[in-house]
Amino acid sequence: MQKSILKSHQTLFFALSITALFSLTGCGKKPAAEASKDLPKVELQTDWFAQGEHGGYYQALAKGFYRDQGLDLEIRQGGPSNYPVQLVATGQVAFAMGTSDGVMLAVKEGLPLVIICAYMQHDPIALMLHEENPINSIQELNGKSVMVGPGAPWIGYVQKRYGITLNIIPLNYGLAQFMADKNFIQQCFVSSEPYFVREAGGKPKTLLISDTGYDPYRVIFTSQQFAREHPEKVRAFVAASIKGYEDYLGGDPAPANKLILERNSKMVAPQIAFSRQAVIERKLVAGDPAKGDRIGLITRKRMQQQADDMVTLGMLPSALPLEKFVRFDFLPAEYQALVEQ
Amino acid sequence: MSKSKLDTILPVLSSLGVIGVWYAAQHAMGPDRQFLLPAPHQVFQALVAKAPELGQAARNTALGAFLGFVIAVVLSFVLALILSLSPRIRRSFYPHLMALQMTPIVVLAPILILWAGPGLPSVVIITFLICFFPMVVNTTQGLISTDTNLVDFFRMCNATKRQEILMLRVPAALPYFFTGMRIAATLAPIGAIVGDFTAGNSAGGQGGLGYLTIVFSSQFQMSALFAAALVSCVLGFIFSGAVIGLSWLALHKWHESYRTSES
Amino acid sequence: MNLVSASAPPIVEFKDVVKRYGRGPNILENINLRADQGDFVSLIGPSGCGKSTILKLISGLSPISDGSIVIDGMKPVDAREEVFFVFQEPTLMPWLTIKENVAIPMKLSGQHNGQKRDQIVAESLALVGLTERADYYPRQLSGGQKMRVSIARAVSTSPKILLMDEPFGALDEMTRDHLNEELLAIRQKQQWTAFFVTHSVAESVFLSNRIIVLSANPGRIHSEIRVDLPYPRTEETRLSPAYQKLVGEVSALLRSVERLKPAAAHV
Repeated sequence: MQKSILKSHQTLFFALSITALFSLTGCGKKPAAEASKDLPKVELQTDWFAQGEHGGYYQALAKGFYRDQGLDLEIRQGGPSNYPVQLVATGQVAFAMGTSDGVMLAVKEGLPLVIICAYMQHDPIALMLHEENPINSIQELNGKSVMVGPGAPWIGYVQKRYGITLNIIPLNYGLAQFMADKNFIQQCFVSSEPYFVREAGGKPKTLLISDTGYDPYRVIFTSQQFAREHPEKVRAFVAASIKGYEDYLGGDPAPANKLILERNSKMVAPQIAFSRQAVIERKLVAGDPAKGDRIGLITRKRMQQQADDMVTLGMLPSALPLEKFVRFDFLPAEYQALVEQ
Repeated sequence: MSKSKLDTILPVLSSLGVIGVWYAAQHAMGPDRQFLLPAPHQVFQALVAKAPELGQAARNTALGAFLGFVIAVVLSFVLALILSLSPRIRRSFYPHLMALQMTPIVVLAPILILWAGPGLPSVVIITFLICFFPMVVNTTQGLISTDTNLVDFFRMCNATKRQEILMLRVPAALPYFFTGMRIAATLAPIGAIVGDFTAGNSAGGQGGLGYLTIVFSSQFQMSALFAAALVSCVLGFIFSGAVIGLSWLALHKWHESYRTSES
Repeated sequence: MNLVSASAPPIVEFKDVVKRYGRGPNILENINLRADQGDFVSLIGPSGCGKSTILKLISGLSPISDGSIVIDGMKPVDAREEVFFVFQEPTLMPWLTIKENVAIPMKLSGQHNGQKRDQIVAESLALVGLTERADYYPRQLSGGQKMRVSIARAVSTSPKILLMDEPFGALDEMTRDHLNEELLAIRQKQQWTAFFVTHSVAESVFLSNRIIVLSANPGRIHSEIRVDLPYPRTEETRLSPAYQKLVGEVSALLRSVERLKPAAAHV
């Protein structure tokens, strides 16, 4: 359902200590690949339970694109208590989903992470309201209570941009209050929560955060060490994932959908269809090809813009040099010209 | 070396030891892992840099904790008085109290926000719920544990029920009452932080330490998180210290637990 | 000491008193007893003879099952204000100072106002020699001192009848002897009638003008001994042959009563 930036949240504190304990003692190490094949095993930590948004990765897995690239990929499902940044930083998984601004914050705090490609061109984070709510834009939210993940950079951005103050209630990953209160406003994934609200008889509308001009990538990141030691695996993963999304969004999504339904017992086919449709209509993953967007692409210009935004917002004291947190060289050869556009 | 000198020096030495081990552990982690454990001076820097935010958050949390605690003290005392009247009343009330105690607050929090709205009201209710049970149980135990010889003495003096409660049972229950209060005092800041964590809000700078913790953690500000933990810890000490002080004022002259060698 | 003529109405009179709890066996039966104003009556006897129960009946804390008791012309419950009980334990409120403890009975009954009350408290403490300790708390006193406070508290109410249930049982012998003398000294000033339960023959002889020996199962009055030693009694009294002789007699009597107990009671 919902993801705040980089899946960080309340109990991070505990998770970090446990992660630290495990990584210090070495008991967190996965047993060496129990895979039947001899292919090297790598892991992708997703940001929620298996769902339509993740379709490209499941499609690539189902159709053997990773295997063809010489990888044995394991997709690990996320959930409300999930710490992708910590898992990657401590070497327990190779890849994880996050946002570009979240990775920057983590890198600034000394976490050795690096972005390798985009997962989505545009962040699906939105504010969800009831249809009868007279508010129709984020500018009108001054002084209103909104349930969002506290501390997310976009909050500072919209407050600054529109000169408004939001009254923030910490996100609790539930819809009970939204359903109970016609005036309630909360954070959502434009491709997920509205489905549940409709199923429960509600009529939601959404205000996309990316429409305000604050538009970070959703990204895949790995650790500096993994990128340094296994560049071929990173390249193979990026190539197979791009192929997976091209196939999932442009072709027959059935192989991925079957896998998603198998892995997530709470998932139903109509919800997957809803999510996939939202991803296509809102150009979340593919972006706008007319503007030079491509599945998985990250451009130097947009990254620099986002790094500068973070400084403007006061989230970073000075712009983080791109080489500290992102590498463009894992993208396919044919993307390299686009990176610099 | 005198005993009292040793008593001051040992805690200082152990603190230095802890800081030493901390630095050593941080150093041993190597640069790739150091984000897991900020060094003490980094925590101190964060404490200074975030002082305005931490101070405001600590004040808000302290207010929530104080209100919840005081309401718990007053209401628990009233309920304990009622419960002390008869075993039948106790038998009929205790299961409900136990049920309340057994229900994790985290489960109740989303419901409470629905009822009371986010922010201070919810934080106060959550703190109250956490503090209430140990107070009721201890105070009731105190009220029904009055020395039977003293009760006989009061009856022999033709004391009324009211006199027996006010002049005998209540003062005799004070040590129990303060035991409950000490437990509640350590729980109150925790309750307020948990409440803030789950039901807090940022309106008018009303976010407390729980809210700030979420913000820091979402931005991976480990040093600031440690600083917030330190502030929470200090808040806990202030609460406990205040209650221990009150308890001393009320009991030190007469209660056995405060007997010194010369008295 | 019997200044009152035998024809004057007794301050305490038991007639054919029976006491049992619920449907249980008789604890006391066939108790006939009269005490005149100023009597110091000791009750001794084997354990289970019901001597403490007699005190409870006089105080009205426990009702009789049969017969009648008249206290100063009233039923025991109505005579409560004239009677004060000194328990085995000092029963002081630990959170009150010594003088506050002594004032408690007067406070509870609303007897006297502030100044008069303070004066009585001071006098009572002076009687037991604890004036200096007025502002202390009970935990700062020794066992003997606490018992003194308990007695000061009892006499502060100016009772007509003072009931004492082994008040000095837990004290060492020297302290007990001292307190016995103090008790008699106070009695010189306040002419209360005393009922005193004890296990100590020597104590009963020293204090009383009458010793009532009870037998057990059920409790009955076995015999009564008059102690005609003159008051005031002092350390010298204890050394006198008459005193020694009486102690011997009462001890022998008590031993014979112990032997009366049915064999079953020993099991």
